[in-house]
Order: sequence, then structure tokens, then C-alpha cells
Amino acid sequence: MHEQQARTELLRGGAIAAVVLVAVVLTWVVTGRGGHGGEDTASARLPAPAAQQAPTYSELREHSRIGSRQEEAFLRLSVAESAEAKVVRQEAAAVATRARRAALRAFPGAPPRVPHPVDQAGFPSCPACHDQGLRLGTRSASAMSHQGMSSCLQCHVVAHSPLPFDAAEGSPPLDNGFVGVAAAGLGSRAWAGAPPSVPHPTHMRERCLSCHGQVLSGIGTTHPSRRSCLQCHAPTAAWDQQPLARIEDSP
Amino acid sequence: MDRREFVKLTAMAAATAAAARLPVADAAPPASDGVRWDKAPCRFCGTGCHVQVGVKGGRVVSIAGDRQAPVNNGLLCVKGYHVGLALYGRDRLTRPMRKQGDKHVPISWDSAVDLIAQRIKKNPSGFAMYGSGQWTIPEGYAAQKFIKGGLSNNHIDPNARLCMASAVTGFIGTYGVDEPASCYDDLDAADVIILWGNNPAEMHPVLFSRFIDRRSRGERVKLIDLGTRRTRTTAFADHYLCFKPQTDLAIANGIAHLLLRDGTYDKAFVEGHCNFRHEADGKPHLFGAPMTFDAYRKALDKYTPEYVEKLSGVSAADIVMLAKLFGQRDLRITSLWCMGVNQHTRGTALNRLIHAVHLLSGHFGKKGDGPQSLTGQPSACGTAREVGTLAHALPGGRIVANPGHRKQCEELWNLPEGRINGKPGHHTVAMWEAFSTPTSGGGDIDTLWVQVTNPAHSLPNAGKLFKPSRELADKFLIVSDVYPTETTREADLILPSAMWVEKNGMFGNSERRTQQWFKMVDPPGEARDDAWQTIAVARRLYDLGVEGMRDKDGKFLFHMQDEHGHEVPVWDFRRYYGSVNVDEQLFEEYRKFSRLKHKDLAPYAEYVKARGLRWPVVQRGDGTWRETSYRFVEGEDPYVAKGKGFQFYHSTSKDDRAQIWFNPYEPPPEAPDAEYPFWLCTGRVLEHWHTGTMTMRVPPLRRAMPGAYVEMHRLDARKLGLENGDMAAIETRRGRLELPVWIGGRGAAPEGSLFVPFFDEHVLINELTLHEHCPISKEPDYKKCAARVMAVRRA
Repeated sequence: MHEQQARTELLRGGAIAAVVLVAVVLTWVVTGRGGHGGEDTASARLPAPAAQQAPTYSELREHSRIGSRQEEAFLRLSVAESAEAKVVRQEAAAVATRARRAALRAFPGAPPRVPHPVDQAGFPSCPACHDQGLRLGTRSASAMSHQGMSSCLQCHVVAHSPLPFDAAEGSPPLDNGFVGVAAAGLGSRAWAGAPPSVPHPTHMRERCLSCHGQVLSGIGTTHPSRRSCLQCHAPTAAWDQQPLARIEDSP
Repeated sequence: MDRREFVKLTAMAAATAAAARLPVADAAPPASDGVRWDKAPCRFCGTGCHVQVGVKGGRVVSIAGDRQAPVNNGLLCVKGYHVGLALYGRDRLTRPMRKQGDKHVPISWDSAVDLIAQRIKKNPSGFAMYGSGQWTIPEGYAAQKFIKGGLSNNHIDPNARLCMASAVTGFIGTYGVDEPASCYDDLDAADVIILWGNNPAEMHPVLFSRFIDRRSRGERVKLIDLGTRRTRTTAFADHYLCFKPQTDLAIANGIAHLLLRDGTYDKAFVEGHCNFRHEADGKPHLFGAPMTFDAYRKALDKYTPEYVEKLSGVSAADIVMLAKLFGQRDLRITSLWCMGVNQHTRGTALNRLIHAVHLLSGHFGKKGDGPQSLTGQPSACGTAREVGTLAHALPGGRIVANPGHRKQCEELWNLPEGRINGKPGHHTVAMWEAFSTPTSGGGDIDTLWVQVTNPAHSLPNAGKLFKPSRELADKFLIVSDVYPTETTREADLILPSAMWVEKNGMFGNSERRTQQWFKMVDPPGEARDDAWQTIAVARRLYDLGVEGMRDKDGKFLFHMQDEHGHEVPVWDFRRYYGSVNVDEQLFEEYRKFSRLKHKDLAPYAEYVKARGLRWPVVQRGDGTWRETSYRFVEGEDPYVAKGKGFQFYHSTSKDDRAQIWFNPYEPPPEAPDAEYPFWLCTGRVLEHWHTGTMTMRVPPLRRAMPGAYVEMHRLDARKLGLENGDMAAIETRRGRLELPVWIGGRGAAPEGSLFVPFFDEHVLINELTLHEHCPISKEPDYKKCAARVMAVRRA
């Protein structure tokens, strides 16, 4: 029984590896040969020189601890992220991504819980993975949507008990009747072909590509070479609590 | 949008919704359009963040950090982001209930109000109210007026007594008037932040981020953590100075000693603006007696770095390092402290010494440069301290013992002369002792009404202060709360309360900021505002002919009238919201009290517009209202005369000077010995607020921290044969508890020390803590007592 299971696993693993290999080759073919052409592609293939990029978490704070080799690794990842690819939106993937995101939040806009154990007392090492974001096989670490904050665990708590024992259950009762507002869905377009508006607040989400980059499947931008997102995609003043916005202005 | 896209979108929304409600809810999430947003201060701690509350269909559906709020600038902590969930625990109290045998049975509001009124009428002087720093300003003001102006007995005290009473006495002794001179703006400018037994990464997370995130912007912020255990904050600190409990007194004196020895104190500031003070005969005293500079220097003689090292365990080199920092005029140094300093049997003394170090070194009154005391509760300052819901106090910094102050209050309340009793009431510990002592044995409190707090869980030494009353037939406990708690379980009468945005409210935070919010949703069932409950009982007493409920013209104490001059019967809950805003009327009456101590409050309407205003809020020539960032500082504080630079205009020595206190190191009342060899410290964790009655019902918070534990050093655990997760029995001279061990967890206690958080109702650690308290502030010490530990052998 065990043996059979192991063999199945092995086969499945092999199949996944094969699929990944094919996908990588295809991506290479698509990006390398059948790319978009034009000046967009040329500029997008090269990352901005380090000096022109805003300092990242790792540059600001992790430099001495992580050392240069790891930093190179992060840099490679951001190269990969910015590389122009023919991005095709897959709605099934988008639905799955949204569902996964929602499961970690009490309501849209609540800080996501951390689905893995963390060092409860130490200096947060979160930026090591979450600064630029990573994808390893089917697992991904999303990039931070905000910048310059260092006490990560003040908002992001673990999703599962960190205690080395089972705490008493039962009382007080935990079933809570709060029902959070639904996620807003897609942004509206003024006409077919117009850039959609931003369907959520932009506060604490200054780094659009943390979600709409290449790490999370299904909700990535179709034009990753463009970096000034709000130039075309209008945020909503009321959601962003702009001083002169009125409540009636909410969508 | 074509049909296909629409179908697709709907399907997606449904899938997202299904995932979102998995953990908690059972109804479909309301669509995101038509959500109404309004401001409110967060319900939890004393930081005073503003949140934006999203409401739809009569329910809170979303929370966001308020970007226009100067305190938090759009950021919250995990409790704040989930504050909306605190309203929707399934077991909200929704009906008044009376204890019959072992059960609580529902009764009507009318009978509940009647029951209370009859008991008070029978023995008004045996009635007491125990409130909290979570009372809104109008709630606390109503209770204050009811007890002191109506019942003339002064038995009203808040749980804030257990929380910041020592900070109050420290401020009064030093500046002659309560509350910080500085404000949170310090956190944006300080070069050095010194934490005195403080863990803001967990307890005041938004303030912690406010200064620690400056490092991400390339600024230098040196963080020095003076503590008795490693915490999350320690991980960010440049220096961690671990001291033996209680020796913080010696460390402060050690710094002062070096400032004098090396001549690095600020001679000009001290000569221009300070006096020296001590307790001349060694007996505790709020105001003390003057001492000369030479006597002060002599008193500090023995606090050499070597002597301080011997007492505290902090190296002489580190004491020198601290003194050198304070000796530098060009550095901006902010001290922060909270319960580590206040919950201390010498809490007043330690508060004074921190102020003394800052005054002596001239690190005072500039942005980034000064002592800032933090509070734990959202309105410990606004309600407990400013409204003065303390047994000895009257509104606006007045005290009952002062005949002039009583007269002013009688005039403002339009009461007959002599109505207010000149004898202070029972402070918290004394109140509960009196309630837990048989009437025949001198226990003179027989009816106690608790609002907005959970004393069965949070009082120290509960076996002595709380439990005995529950065995005494003539002691009647009334509890107003929102959820079942340790206290409601023991109550003779339970009253269901409205909470947070289910009512209008006002809070005052740690930096003198008064905040206002409006009711946004209805409370569940028959739950009602605490202020209404007080007013309804007062009205019943009025109807029963109790004289104290009338002013000198025979009008009801809480007489309110609408804009046409018609009296509104606000004691009828149907009329409580409608033609008058009760909060506004109570506040407008209360703010007249705020001038005496220059804590001027603006009209209610100004707070409606603002994200809080820091008092004194003074009207300018053009009619606008201006808040004050720094008190006693020329150019900032409108009450400082031109040319003075600094003016401590409430000085206890009547010469516009602040007092630099000397207080000696004194050993704690209980320290580890052969029988009880460990220190036991208690406190909070990030996810839970106080006794967890709200946060333990919020799934993301409960899951992240589901239960209490004992934190101990690895080597101690090994010696005792304990491993992570094993059960240990903790024993003090007052009680015994079993709880699991967590090593290498949230914090790290040094060898010989234990830490237990107090939020968990299954582990009532306060059955073990000391009720010994500061002789001046009467605040007990929850941070240190002697304990022993043993492994619990499982059968």
C-alpha cells in the first residue's frame, strides 16, 4: 500500500517536473523569439540600473545580514519579474488566487495572516522572501504591497497557533458573526478599451506589482513593462480618504 | 459589460465570497458599493489611533486606518484592523439578567433599574461604582456627577487605578499638574529612545512603528531597552540593559549621579526652571519637602556606577553610557514608559525619577526631547484623569479634600452648598476589600456597580479582593458589560451594554488628545449605553424622592433640553437618541471644568470636525481653536508668558519651577527567597487587550494567540525537567495555577524569572499576584512577586 502510494507520488512528481520543463521552454521560446518587439520590449528586458531603483527593504536593512550573494538572487528575481512576457489572463487562476487571498483575511483590506510559522520574538526576517516575492514550484511568497515598514508582526499575525501545546477551546465561544464587505471585483472602464480604474484603496498598496506582478497567478498585469500604474489606472479618492473626497463619491 | 463577462464576474465574486466567509461568517458579504465610512478612535489601547469604520445594512463591514489621523497616519495594529469584529461575538449580552440560585434569568430593564435604585436608596453611603479608562468621557462624567454630586459619597474609582495612578502622582509631584507636557511628535524627531520597562512593539505597536520605521527612511534612531525580560521590542534595540526587578530606581539615580559628578547636567535649565524635592522624613508624600542642590548631590553620592551595577546587574559601563547620552545637549532623547514603571510599589518615585533625569539634563520641552508616559486604556487620560473618576478627585484636576474645589463644582453643577462630601472615597484596593469584608466586620460597601471592566479577572490577589464578597449574602454586585466575563458570571445583576460605535462617544488618549465619534450601528437586543444606565438609575432615585438627585432649584441632575427649551426625558431609552445629543450636552457641561488646570477643551462641534485635539485647546482672535503640542513651553503653550522660555505655571512651589525629585532605591516588598525562588512578572501580548473579553472572540486574534503560557529560561526548565508544552505548576504565597511552558516563544525571561500573560480567562494569574501597592498612588505591583515552579506529573 505504502509502496504503491510512493510510486504514484513519484510518477506525479515526474509529470509535474515534465510540465514545468515544457513551460519553461515555451516561455523562453515565447519571450525570446515571438516577443512583442518595439521599444517597450527592449527597455523592459533590462532592469533599471540599481542606482535608479528605489531602495528595497533588502538594500536598506538586510544588507549586512544577508550579504551580497543573496542580494544578487533577489535582483535576479526582479529581472525575471520585469521581463516582458506575453501574459494571458487565466480567469480560473485569478479566481483561485482571489480565493486564496480572501481566506487569509477577515475582510478585504484586513492585513493577511501569515500561513506559516514565524520567529515570535526575533527581528522580523520577513523581507528575505517577501520583499520582492518568490515563486518556487507551486508555492509563492507574495511581495509586500507597502514600503518602509519594519515591524511586520504588528499587523500580520500567524494563522495557526504558535504555542507548543493545545490551548483550551470552547470558551469564550469563537464563532463570530462579522461579515466583511465583498471584494470590489474588477475596476470600471469608461468605455471599452479604456484603462480600468483601481477597484480597491491604494493606501498600503503602493507597490502594485506585488500583487499584479508575476508572483500571483491570474491577476498579473498584461503589460509588465509599464511601471507607472496610476498614470492610467485611476484610484478612487473616497477610498483613498483624500481630504476633499465625499462619502457620496465612493463607488 | 457583455453577458459572458457578467456571468464570469458573478461566479468569481461568489467564489471569493465563499472563501472569505469560511472562517467566520454565515451570511453573504454585502457588495462594496454604498458603504458609509466615518471616523472613530480605536476601541482598544491608549495610543488613540483613528480608524475609518465602514457600515452597510446597519452593520460594521470594514475597517481601515484613518489617513487623516495624525496619531497613526493610516496605520493600525492587528487589533485595530480587527476591531470591527469585536462587536459580533455570538454571545453578546442582550438582556438584563438577575442571579437566581446558580442561574441568571432575564428581567426587564425597568425591574433592573428599580432593583438598583432600591438598593441605593436603602444605603446610599454603602454604594460604590467601579469603572474604567474605557468609559467614554461623557459616561465617566455622568457616573462622577451621580456619585459625588448626587449621592455625596465619593466611592467611585476606575480600573485605571491599577494602570496609571503612579503616572498621575508622578506628574503632580513634578509639575504640579497631571499629564504629559510632550506628545507623540517626539517620536518623529528623537535621536535616542529609552524604554523604561516598556514593550511598545506589542503594546503600542503603532507608536513603535512611528519611530522604528524612520530607520527605513535612512534616519538614525538609537533604541535603548531597559527591561527585565527580552521582548519583541528588544530585537530592534541597539542596547538591551537587563536589570533586576525594582532596581530601575537605582538606575535612574545612577544617571543623575553621573550628570552631577561629571558636570554634564544642564546648569542653565536647572537654575532657571527647577527646584529639588524629597520625602524629608523618608515617609511617602505626594508633594514632599524642598531640598538644596547640595543635599540633592549628597543624596545621590552613593549611586556610583559600581554601586548601581551591584544592585541592578546592569554593567557600570552601560550606566555611564546612559549618563553620557543624557549629558549631550545636542541629542534629542525621548523616554517612554507604561506599566513597568506604573505597576510598581514605588511607582510614584520611579515616575518622578524619570522626569528628574530629563529635567536635570535639560532634555525637556523640545520636539523629540522629553519624557512621555503612555497609557494602556483608550480614555485613561480623558475619563479617569481629566473627568477625575477617582475616589479623591473632582472634574478638571480638582480634589474633594479642597473646600474651594468642592465649592466650584457645586456652583457649576448648581448644587446646594455642602452637597459634595469632603472625605475621599475608597480607592480600588480599599473598595474591593470593603466589598469583600462582611458588613459586620467593617466592610462598608454593600452594593457595587461595575461598568466597562472585568475586575474578577484583573484585580490583583483576587482570592482576597474579589472572591469573598461572593459568599456574603448582603453584598450585591451589578455588572454592565458586553460579553459574559469572569465578573458577570459572579454578578447578582447583569446589564447588557452598547459598545464602541453602537453609541456616541469621546475618548482622551496618552498625548492629551480628546476624540469624538458618533453612533453608527444599533446595539444588539436590549443592550444600552452605560451613560443611559447611570442616568436611568439616577432618574428612578429622583422619582423615589432622593434629594441628591435634584439640583438646588429642584431640577433633575441630568436635566436636558432640546433646542426649543423643552425638557427631553433621556432616561427613557426611546428618547436617548433623537432630539438631543446626550454626549454633547454632558460634554458641554463638563468642559466648563477644564479651565482651572489649563486643560481647556473646545466645544463639542470642534471635535466632530477633527481627528482629536490636544488640550489646552484655546480660541484665537480669529475664532479658530488651536491645540497645544508642548505644555509649559513658550511659543507652544498659550499660557506661558512671553519671555519666560519655560513656565511651570502649576508649580507646587508656586514659583513656576518644576521639581527634581530624589527618591532612594528601596527593596521590593516581596523578593525571591529559598522557598519561592523565582520572580513572577505578568503582562499583555500583542493580540489581546486586557482580559481578552473582546479580542478572544475575534478569530484572527484568538488563533494567533489562543492561550496563556509561562515563559521561562531554558536552563530553569531543564533543571525542573520541563520541556516545551509541558505543564508547570506556579505557586505564590497567594495561590497556585497550572499552565503550559513556552520556551523560546514570544519573549525570553532571564534565569530565575517567569512571565505569564493575563488575558486568558482559563488561567487567572491574578489569583497569584501581589496587592501591595504604591503608598502614594495606591497602584498595585503586577510585575514582580516571588514564585516557585514545579513540573506537573501527568497520571
